[in-house]
Amino acid sequence: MSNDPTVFIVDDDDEVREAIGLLMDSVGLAAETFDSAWAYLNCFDPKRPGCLVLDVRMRHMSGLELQERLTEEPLHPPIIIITGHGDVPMAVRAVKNGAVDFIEKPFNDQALLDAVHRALELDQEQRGKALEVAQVQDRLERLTKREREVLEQILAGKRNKVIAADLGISQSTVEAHRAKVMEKLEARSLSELMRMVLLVYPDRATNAAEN
Amino acid sequence: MPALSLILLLSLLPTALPAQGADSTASAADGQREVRIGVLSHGGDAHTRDHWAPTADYLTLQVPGHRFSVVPLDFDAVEPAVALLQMPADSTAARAGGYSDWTVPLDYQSVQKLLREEHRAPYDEEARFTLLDALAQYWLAVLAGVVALLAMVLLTSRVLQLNHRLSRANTRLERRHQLILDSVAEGIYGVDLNGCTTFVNKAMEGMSGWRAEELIGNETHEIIHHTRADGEPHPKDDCPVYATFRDEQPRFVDEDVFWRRDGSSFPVEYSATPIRDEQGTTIGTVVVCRDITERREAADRFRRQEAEQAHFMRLSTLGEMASGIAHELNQPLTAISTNARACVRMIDAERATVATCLEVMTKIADQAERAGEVIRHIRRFVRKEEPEMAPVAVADIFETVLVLMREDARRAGVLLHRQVGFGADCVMAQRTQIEQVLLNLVRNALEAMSEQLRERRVLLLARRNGDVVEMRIVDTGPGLGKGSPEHLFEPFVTTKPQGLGVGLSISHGIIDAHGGRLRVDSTPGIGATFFFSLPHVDDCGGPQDAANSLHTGGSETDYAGERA
Ligand SMILES: Nc1ncnc2c1ncn2[C@@H]1O[C@H](COP(=O)(O)OP(=O)(O)OP(=O)(O)O)[C@@H](O)[C@H]1O
Ligand SMILES: [Mg+2]
Repeated sequence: MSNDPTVFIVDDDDEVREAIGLLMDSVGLAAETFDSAWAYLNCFDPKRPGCLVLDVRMRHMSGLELQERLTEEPLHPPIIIITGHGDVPMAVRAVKNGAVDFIEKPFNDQALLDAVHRALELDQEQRGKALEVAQVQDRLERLTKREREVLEQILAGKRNKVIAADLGISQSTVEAHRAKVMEKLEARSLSELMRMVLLVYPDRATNAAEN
Repeated sequence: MPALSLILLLSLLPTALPAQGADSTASAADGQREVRIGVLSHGGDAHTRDHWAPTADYLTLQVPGHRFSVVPLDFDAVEPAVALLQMPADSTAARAGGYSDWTVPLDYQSVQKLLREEHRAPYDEEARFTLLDALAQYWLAVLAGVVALLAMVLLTSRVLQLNHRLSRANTRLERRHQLILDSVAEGIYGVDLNGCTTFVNKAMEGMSGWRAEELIGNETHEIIHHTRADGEPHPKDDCPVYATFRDEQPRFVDEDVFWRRDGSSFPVEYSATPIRDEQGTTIGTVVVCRDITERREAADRFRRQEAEQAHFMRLSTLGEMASGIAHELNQPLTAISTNARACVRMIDAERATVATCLEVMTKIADQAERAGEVIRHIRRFVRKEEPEMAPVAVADIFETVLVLMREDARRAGVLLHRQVGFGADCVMAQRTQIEQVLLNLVRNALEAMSEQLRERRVLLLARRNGDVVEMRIVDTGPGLGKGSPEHLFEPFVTTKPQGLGVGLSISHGIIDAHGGRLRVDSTPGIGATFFFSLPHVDDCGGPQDAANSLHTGGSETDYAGERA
């Protein structure tokens, strides 16, 4: 598998699907076409970079259903919804569910290409971020149980003295654990540590902000 | 020989003899008239002659120019004569003959005449015999005559009176007939065996503008019935009015035109009935006609309104399908513009080969035609003027339904099939109306299946069945609910929150107008089948592209998902 991004096109109208493929080809983008949501899901590989151009209304499985399936995956290409007449409410729902763009048929070629380019950038960004998350997760794995407890307390914004009292250990031991955590996570400052942890656990954001 | 008439004389009063009847027709050679007096001889002829001689002499003396002689008469011979005489009861003769109660007419003609001529008593005073005397004498006859005359006068006057009354009654009757004829709103006229008008009523005059005098005696046909509605001449040999008195069969004509005096025509319906006389022989035709301009206009108005309503229904059907149809147009437009742009970009980037460009151009053209096809179907479906019944290709009808419903079917996840059986190619129908019916039925099927997990299919089927083509719309839906299916054909019966419940009732009406009946079979959990028949025709008239592309006996499934 190459690491070049691919534009995945899912539309059950042969002509439209092939026309979009041709358009991608004309600007030098690699494109792959699928005539149904199932066909795409069968070939889905989270590791392949790219974006998904998805017709919202199709037989058997609609674009929305496919989108729902994909959101269960940790990583999937950003979705551009294309809609026919009268499908705007569906497109809006798709956008709420995380689609990056929606374009009404018949569309302007430039508008679609712009959307595709934006989506590809986003994919790249997402893939970079995912890589970082994976690294942080890797590092977090390396922490001992005690070190993780100390990390929790640090993230909760507590001072060393309070941590020592809470955990029933000496303040110097807390300091030693703390240094070990910073070292294992490869964080040079407390703020960097915070950013890393938030990357993996976005729900910790509120607590951190209070600090 | 001087004639001797029978003279009967009785010696009642010898001096008053001239008063007794005697004939005096005899005339003597000496210029004297001879009068013979017959005397009944009782005592022998000689005796009688002797006895009466003085009397005869006396008379001869008394009546100049006459000579009287006595002729004794045999009693027996005179008996009947005496019987005619009036004899006083005490006269000798009466006594002798027992004729005492006999009478003698005084008016014995000859005697009377003689006496009158001689102006003897009782004619010595002429004036004495007056009308009164005559009356007195002939009163019975006069009375009878008068009575008869009176009776005759009375009778005559009565007859005259009756006659007069009859003729008055006749005119009254005629007037009443005319009144009745004139009070009828229908135009009525009669013609004789030559086709000449015999009578015309007021309504006919008013309707045609011709006055009765102008029509009566002339051939009405040449005046008001000479030309047909299409402008062709109408020879009288073809005229139903003439045919009626010829074959003596009444007939009714529900569409024809009559011509007014001003040269315009008006639509009529009329009946022609033979007129028969008392003997039952046909003597002409009576025509009762009605100006149907207004009715025709009302019918036209009604037809127009119906057509307008049908048009409105088609528009609203189309309105409901608008989004599906817009999609149906959007797809090819999207493909066209995207292909064209891609091609332009490739040419710009100098990456385009002629082969690619050709391929793309061909695709663009195909898609443009696809869009055009959709529009063609829509345009024909919503066309305002209602085409008449005409032969149509079943495949063409199915094609329109498929084009218009494809996207809706796709959205509903329903597979649309169609199949035209052998020999079921052409039907006689109002095309858009039947399309409307099929669209209603297919939409109902789609709506019925929208929730179900089981497979969703709709099959449009045309099958030849004798003189008709049976059209079936089969679905794999839940079937109809409980209750009579006929009930569903009533307007405003619906089980859908958004439904109006008019689809089936409209469809039912349309099939009715085609002389068929919309019916339904349903098996709960399996599906429903709506079906109706249309008259089959052999030829659709002119090439039909859709008919040619879809071969007879063939079946085609529109895998909407794959294609569109
Ligand atoms: N194919 C079918 N399968 C099951 N039920 C049907 C089918 N077709 C019609 N019906 C029933 O018949 C009813 C009447 O249909 P009809 O088309 O007259 O009205 P509607 O579809 O409810 O409303 P409208 O057509 O006016 O929008 C429907 O509401 C539905 O219950
Ligand atoms: Mg309906």
